[in-house]
Amino acid sequence: MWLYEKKTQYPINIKKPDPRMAMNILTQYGGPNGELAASLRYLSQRFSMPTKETKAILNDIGTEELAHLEMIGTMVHQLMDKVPPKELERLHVDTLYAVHGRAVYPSDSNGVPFTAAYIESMEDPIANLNENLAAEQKARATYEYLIRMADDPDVIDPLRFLREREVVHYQRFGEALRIVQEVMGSKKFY
Amino acid sequence: MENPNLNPNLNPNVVSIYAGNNCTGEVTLIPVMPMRPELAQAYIPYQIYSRIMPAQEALKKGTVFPELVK
Repeated sequence: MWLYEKKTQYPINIKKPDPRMAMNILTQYGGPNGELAASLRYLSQRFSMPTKETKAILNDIGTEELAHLEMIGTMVHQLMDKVPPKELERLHVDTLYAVHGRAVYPSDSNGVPFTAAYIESMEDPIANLNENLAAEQKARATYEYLIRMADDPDVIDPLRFLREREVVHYQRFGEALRIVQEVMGSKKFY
Repeated sequence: MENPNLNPNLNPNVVSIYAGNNCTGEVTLIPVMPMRPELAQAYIPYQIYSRIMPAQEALKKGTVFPELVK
């Protein structure tokens, strides 16, 4: 089970709406390398991890990804909030408006809806952890693309924070892989 | 230039202690890098605790560990 804290993991206070940037960032909500995919991937895989520590690593990171999902949702909402439909049309983000209004919907930047086909969960922990290492690098690269497109510090700062978390998670999945390798290699654990 | 042999996170001979089994008390030692690396396996150096940053700085950077700021 979870405990909820009524605040975001990193403060988000965007004063200037930017619907184009909202559309770009949306892919980290419901896109292939997004936070929803990351969270469901780790929270599903955790059951088949072979040790308590590696289960806990996936549980903790999967939980943190939910906090990142909330951050991204907050950013998309603040960037789209109260922008007149005519302005959305001028900025060429009107197709998303036609489908969802200014709501936050789990899709990528092109409006392709979220699908569990973005993730894998296998019984083999080595396979899972290698997928997770790749997933963290893909998310880091995505955040770097987004940071390059952003020009508002209110947008860039939380994106930088999220990018750094991908680096830290990569390290932790690497350590989880080392634990599994050592445990499976020695067989003493069981 | 920092001497990599003095940085525990870069010295492959440093051994990190990983408490593997709380029931038997058995402890598995995990070196920073594997003593006998095998082909067709991926290895990440195991992090050794050194120091943490003040909370405000850590929030700004996205980690409490200075060696993980990248």
